[in-house]
Amino acid sequence: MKKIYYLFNVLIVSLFFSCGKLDNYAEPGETLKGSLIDVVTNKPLITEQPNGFKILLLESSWSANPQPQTFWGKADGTFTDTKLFTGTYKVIPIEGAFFPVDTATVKLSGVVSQNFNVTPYLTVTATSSVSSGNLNVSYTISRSKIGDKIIDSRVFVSTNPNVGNNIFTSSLSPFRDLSSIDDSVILTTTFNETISGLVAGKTYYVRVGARTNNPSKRYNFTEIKAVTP
Amino acid sequence: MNKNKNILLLLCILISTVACHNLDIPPMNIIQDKDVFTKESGVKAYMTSLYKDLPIEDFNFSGGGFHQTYCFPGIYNCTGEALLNPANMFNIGSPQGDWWQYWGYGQVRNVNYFLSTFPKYASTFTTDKANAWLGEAHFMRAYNYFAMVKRYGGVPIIKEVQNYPTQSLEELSVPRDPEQAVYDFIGQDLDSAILLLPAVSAELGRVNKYVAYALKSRAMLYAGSIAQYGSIQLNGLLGIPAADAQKYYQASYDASIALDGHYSLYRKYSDKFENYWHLFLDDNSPENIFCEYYKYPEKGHGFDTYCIPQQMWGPQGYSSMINPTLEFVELFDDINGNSGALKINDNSGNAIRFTNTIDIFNNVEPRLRGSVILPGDIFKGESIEIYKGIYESYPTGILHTSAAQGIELFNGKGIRGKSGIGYNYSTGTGFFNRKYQNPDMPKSQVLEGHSVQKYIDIRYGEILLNRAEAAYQLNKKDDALTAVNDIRDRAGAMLLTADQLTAQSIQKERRMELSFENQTYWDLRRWRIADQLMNNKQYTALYPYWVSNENKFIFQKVQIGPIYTFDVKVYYTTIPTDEILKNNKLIQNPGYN
Repeated sequence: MKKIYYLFNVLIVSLFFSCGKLDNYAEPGETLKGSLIDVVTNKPLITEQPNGFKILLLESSWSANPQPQTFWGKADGTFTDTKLFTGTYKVIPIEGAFFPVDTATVKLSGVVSQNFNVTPYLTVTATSSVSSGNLNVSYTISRSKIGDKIIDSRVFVSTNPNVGNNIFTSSLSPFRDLSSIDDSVILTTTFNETISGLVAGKTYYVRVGARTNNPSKRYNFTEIKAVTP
Repeated sequence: MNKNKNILLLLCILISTVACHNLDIPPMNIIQDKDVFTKESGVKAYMTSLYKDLPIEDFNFSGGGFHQTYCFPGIYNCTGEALLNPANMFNIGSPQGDWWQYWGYGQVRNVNYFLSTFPKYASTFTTDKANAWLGEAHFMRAYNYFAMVKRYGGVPIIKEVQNYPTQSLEELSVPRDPEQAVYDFIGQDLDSAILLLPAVSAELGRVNKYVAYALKSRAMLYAGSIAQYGSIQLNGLLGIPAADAQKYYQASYDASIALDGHYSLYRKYSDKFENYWHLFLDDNSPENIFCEYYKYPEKGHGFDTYCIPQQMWGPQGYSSMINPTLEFVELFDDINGNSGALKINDNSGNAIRFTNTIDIFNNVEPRLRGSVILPGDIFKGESIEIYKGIYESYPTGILHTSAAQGIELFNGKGIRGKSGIGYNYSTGTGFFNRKYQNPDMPKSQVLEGHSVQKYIDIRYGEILLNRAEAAYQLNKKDDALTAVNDIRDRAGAMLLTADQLTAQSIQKERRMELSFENQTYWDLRRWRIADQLMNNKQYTALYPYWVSNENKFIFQKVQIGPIYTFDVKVYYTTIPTDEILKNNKLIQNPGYN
């Protein structure tokens, strides 16, 4: 009886031994990087993370209709993926606050850089100042190409340096519903906000965002500014 | 001797083999079509399984899917109606695209099989009977497709039974049809059902012509609002052209009108609060259109067990899985038509003192009391004590709070009452739900799987709201106002005037009337307002405190729980990835790749 048990154990062990062979395919090691250049400012298009933009990859070497793969871009408008297989990829930035971009085809081997010129839905320009404990922000919205209706804007304030639509303090972040205001009026208005209730001596991070009624409801942002009331 | 044995064996084999002259017979251990579809009991058994598989969002529906045995009502966390108790509330954050899945092609296949096979045997029954069954099958198919289209947008329309390996894989991989085509297909199926079904249900719980009208009223209203508020994406797989909105609203309106005179609002009790909560428990309500029934022990649910206030919890120790938020409570204007925002401070900012916790709710709408157990209100003949703590004096005195399961005392008074805030398995917001809770269940019976109150899937109240919403969009404002005011009168609310009637006020009415009925989540999606309501949103609790030296209560509003953001991609559910792997013609919804 004991002998059978022993043999049985050997059998099981030998079953596992057969799984010992390593995958013979080398791990992916090619790098695709680049940035989205905002055609208005000629600088990388600043967004937030996540929900900034994604890079869609279609590996077209094997099939005309491949499974799409994506990765998130960074908040500063750059993107990097260091774990890709060699191959020919169609690359498209998607789901960001910019008009659709043409596909680029990239032969990936080693480190490949691919920049995209993107036209943002909106461009927001803001100035801010601190006076007697209050934060005053004034901003204007402009655009270089007409897209969807402008629906809202907001001054985002948080003590977190990654402030954006993912992270903000609701009570300190005044929201403007612009959906019933005509775009031509919005584009010629200077919006002023006075934010009170900040704690003196604490550092706050401020940015302004505005968005059109785009399918992913993405904001176009200004750069993040640190203020200390 | 051995030789004889061998011969005998050979003979045996020969004899037995000869007997098998006809090997090609139908398997004896599988019930054949002719056995099922030629007997009434067989057809009924088949139908029963179709009913059982219907994706009704009943008490056993959760983020994990349908027919769950251990099932917290989680969908109210995705709408702002309620939070789970503090021990669980952080488990459900912002709504995700892969929750509430239903890829129901197994069920659709069973219906298609019935629709293609049953007509061959239909002559064994009277025409009326055969038609009624076919009508039920058309209703089931529409119900299944509606459950899918409201989640995924356009899905493949499969009208015939697929066969493998007779059909090639290429043939079996069907691409998605446009969202509009699916809604049109649902409309056609329901029209067939309306023609075929009898006017009166054959048995309790089975559908009739008017149930089909009712589902049509709902489905076409959804199509209308997708056309009005949605946008066209993926080359039309998602979205409906805005120009067609009126067509769908008209179809919904016509279907709602067809129910006139066949169902009515429940008005059995003259007290509007009593009337409203009884509506969900009374089996003879003229408002019930389509219900799912339960029976112990074969089929029960645990709604009471999960939701009951802590002071009445059953032997298993569950409680407080639906804690309505203050935002939801304040949606309801008071009986004089004033804002429902609770006044906790006087004009100079000092906390107002109350003798009892219920006093702050003196003028609330009866429907709110019927939907929510307010602090200090009566349930099962007991006052539900909900305190957050005790101040020795206010505002400067020491504050006592308690996180213990039992009742900790201060000066002989329970610090958090019998069901109060602080303990992780009691309410977190200061409220419990009342709608659907059975007030007659003995404490020892408050167990999982022991509750048997029916789930009302479609009731006439919803039809009136469908009618109001469609009529408003069709510019029949008088008709919309009559329907909304019918609902408001039954609820005990002030009637709306003609200028108070807007698309927003009709939406708000629907959120109040159909709260905790698994409707609001889908409504917020189809109106495309979920992302506005849930943008970095944290919900509020109402904390009642006892001020010991004054013998009075005060209230505070405090934000609790996770922060919710509704990502716009969640307006469409993720197509299950394993389905895409099986069928590479399926295109994933935007935002999920």
